[in-house]
Amino acid sequence: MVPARIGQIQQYSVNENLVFIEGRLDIGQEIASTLVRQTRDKALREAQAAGIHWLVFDAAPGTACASREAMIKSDAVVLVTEPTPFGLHDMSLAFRLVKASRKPCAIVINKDSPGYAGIEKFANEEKVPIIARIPYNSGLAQSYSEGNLSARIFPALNILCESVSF
Amino acid sequence: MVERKSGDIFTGQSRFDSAIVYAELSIGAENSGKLSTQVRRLADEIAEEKDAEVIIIDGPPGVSCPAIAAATGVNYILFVSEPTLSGVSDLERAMEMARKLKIPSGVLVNRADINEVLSIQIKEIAIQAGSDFWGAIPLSSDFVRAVRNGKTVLEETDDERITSVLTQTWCSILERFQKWQ
Repeated sequence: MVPARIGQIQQYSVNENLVFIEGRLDIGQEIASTLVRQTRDKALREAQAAGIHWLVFDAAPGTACASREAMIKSDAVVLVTEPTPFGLHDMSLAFRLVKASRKPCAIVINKDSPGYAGIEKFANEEKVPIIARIPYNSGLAQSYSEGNLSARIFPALNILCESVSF
Repeated sequence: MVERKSGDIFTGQSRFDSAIVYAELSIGAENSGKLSTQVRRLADEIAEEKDAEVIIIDGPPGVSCPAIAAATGVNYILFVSEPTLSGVSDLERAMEMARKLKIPSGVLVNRADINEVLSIQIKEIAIQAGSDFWGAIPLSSDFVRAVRNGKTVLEETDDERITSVLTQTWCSILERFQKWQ
């Protein structure tokens, strides 16, 4: 067996408190889960070496192997969904994976707006806390589009982030 | 070697009498594209039976196996992009995948008004790559309302910026199809 390149892992220092590690699959390569696993393990090694306590794994949506690889080394899972029937459907599938793992789980509602109660109903039934609601807001979307950290532009988000604990 | 079930395939009928085929991958299963390929095969069979002119495949974002399985062998790929830094990067990667598969493509910008500069950049990327550029759709809560009501956005909006782009895109691509027959 000969090792073959499937993609690239890159590390960036955002500031003295924040490191970003990204795995990028080469175009034409088929299986993402191998790279997800390697990126995750690199992040864990780097964090340990630098004495960093908090890691956030940003995984692709879905419930397939790649999502599972991101999840299995996590202490807790945050499911980010949107208040529509599609959001509910996809989240309930992802929740099946989390439930089977017995890891603590919480929900964040993104692009929140009144008029749909499906996410709350699900959260009640499955006893999963909704820990944050990010409003449907074009200003936030504009700021995100430029690559800004939303919490810098909207201080209210900082309060939400600081209060996350479950 | 042990056989393992990787998912379930469903068929149904939409309100508009078109057939729908979709699948649910088993939790944690490897998303190798095999299930997508089965869905496509079944869709081909149903299209033959019903003498349907067009099969629309709603593909996943990304460039790995599930996206390749959705895109291989199609006549045309319509990319729906968004004018954000990550959206532009994702579009470029997806267009590279389409080029490698030698499939013609076109681009729509969704939520275009959240960033005019990047919307223009996306148009330039499309044109320089020899792809069609079908236009820009504004951010609108009409889409959210439509999804929540189980309706298509054309049934829920009277915003001409949305209806004209969607209708023109569809009609133009359909015209191309008829030329390919």
